[in-house]
Amino acid sequence: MGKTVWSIIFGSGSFQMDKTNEIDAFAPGLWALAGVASAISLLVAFLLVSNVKNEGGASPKEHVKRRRIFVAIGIIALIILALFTSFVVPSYIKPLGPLLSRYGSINFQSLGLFLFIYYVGGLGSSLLGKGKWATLTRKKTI
Amino acid sequence: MRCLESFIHLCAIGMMDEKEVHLLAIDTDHQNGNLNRLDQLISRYIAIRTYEREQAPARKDGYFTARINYYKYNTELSQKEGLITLSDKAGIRPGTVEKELADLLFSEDVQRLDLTHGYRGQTHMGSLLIYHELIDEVKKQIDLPPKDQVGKLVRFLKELRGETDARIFITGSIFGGTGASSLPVIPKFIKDAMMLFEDPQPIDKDVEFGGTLLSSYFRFNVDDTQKKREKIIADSAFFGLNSQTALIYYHDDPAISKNFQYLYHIGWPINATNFHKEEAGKTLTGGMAQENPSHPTELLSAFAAINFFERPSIATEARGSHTKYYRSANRIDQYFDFTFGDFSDGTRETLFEARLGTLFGFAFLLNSNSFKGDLSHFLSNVNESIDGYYSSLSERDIKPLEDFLKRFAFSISDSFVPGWLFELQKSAQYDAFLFEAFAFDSSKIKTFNWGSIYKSEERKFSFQRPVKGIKLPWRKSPDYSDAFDHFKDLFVKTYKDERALLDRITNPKERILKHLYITLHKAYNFE
Repeated sequence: MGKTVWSIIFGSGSFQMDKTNEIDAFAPGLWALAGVASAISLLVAFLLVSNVKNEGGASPKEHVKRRRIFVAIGIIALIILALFTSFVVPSYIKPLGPLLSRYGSINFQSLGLFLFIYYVGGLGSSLLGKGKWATLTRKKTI
Repeated sequence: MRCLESFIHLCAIGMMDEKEVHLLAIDTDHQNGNLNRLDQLISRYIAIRTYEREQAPARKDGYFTARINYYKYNTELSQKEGLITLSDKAGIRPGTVEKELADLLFSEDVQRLDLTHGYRGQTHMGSLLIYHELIDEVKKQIDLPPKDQVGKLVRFLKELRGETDARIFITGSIFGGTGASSLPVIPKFIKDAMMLFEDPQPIDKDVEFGGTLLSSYFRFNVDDTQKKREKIIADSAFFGLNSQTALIYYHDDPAISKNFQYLYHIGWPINATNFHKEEAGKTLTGGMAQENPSHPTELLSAFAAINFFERPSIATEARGSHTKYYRSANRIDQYFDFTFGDFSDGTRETLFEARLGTLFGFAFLLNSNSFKGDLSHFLSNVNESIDGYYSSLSERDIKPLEDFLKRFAFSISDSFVPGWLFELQKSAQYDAFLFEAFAFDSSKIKTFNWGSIYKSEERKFSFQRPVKGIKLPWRKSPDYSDAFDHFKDLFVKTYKDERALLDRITNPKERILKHLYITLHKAYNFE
């Protein structure tokens, strides 16, 4: 798998990145990780949101509960991803300094990509979708 | 009255699709609790079908599809204050010829019987009195100018004039007082009364008469002191004997064969249900407090009426025929294991199962913790998910439906109040009456999964949803909230899928009933 984020995750390599081009080559993997993480987070959010039952009463508030779950899943996933990319991955970079600074901007992009896919993708699919998922963006479910 | 109550509930679940019914209730006790309950039920039924002061025409495939026109007549005696007896009514004075004639026909106790609560099993007197009272009432009304002929009895008869394919069904017990007295004479009264109008029109030869021979099925205790004091009091110990005597009469009397084309034998050969109710230590003979629970025999009577109304007309060559029907059910020791088919005829079994159970399910939805009996909350709730589609309906518009459903199944205010279906189950003395036994457990009805009331597995809510089929490990067994969740998803889906059909229904009350009908049938897999 070479010097990629997947080698770190699956523990198949003990390597060090000490060149700028290695950091650059590492970036696509990190972006892919952000994409995969957002997809998994969206799936988890979808399952949890869809499992929030329609409530009785004159003014049901289940859509509020669903929105909170959606936001919370995004934040929790972001924190987990950030902990991994900000603390685990840098231990594979030596020497720190300029390489870490270069990695920092890539890391920032990957976290941004995660947020973009998760929230924009999630809310966009809610707008176009139906059922309980649709209540993330509107009260009606159709 | 309770047979009519069952009939109204059957109309409510949609067993009388596309039919217009003219319903005449005759009672000798105008304060009777069961009569008041019937009045209330019918006025709610009509209110449910009425929008902008117009009752909807008869419809099909839905709830409350039959159009009902209600006529009520309380005998004159029941509305008078104080003690009224046969002697008063007939003006019998001691030492007169009338008194001697009365002594030949009626005992002294019968002549002095208080008639304000009916005929108390004295059918030989009751038939005479009811026939003449009804005829006198018609004569009285007909003597008035046409615009003043507002009596319900005359209005009912006017509806019958010129009808060539009308069916007249008469229901009442044959072992008691008022019903037993009236049943044999009502066809004669109708035929005779039609000739009293200014331009008499005999009843059409194709008009058919049917009726129930409803024999003894309930009992009550009689207080000996009261019996001694009042001399004549209905005593359920004689109901069996009364039934036997009446059946011999109905079998042998040629006038019955001539007047009735169809008669339906209905009985209850197991433990008679005890309707005993006391007020101040006194057995109730009638009045406001007499509000007895419903019984499966009354439901069978209502189905007999439906069978009669649905029958093909008698062929010309068979005119004058007389047929008696009976139906048996699976009896296990001291209870009946009724199926839906035991009540309806073979072709309508699934229809009855579907329509009774789905509306029963909706009654659970209404009374569960989801809405705690408030239908306006349900309406607000669903409106939020379907663009306020039913926002034109006010709380006042839907209140009759809420009240009707509470009487149909049950209600919970301070305590649990059984409705018609729960009363049937209790009177049947069988826990799993048509539905699962837990559906009748009053301690759990606010919280249990009402999607599982049917005994058949295929009629239980599946709770299988796309992707959500992955059950999260912490989700407990389904309860009322899961049932509502499933229902609401389907309700919203129905709004989307059946929008064109719903839009065509201009009366929003009818529209929401149709919407509920489709959704509930989908939910219980009756599509």
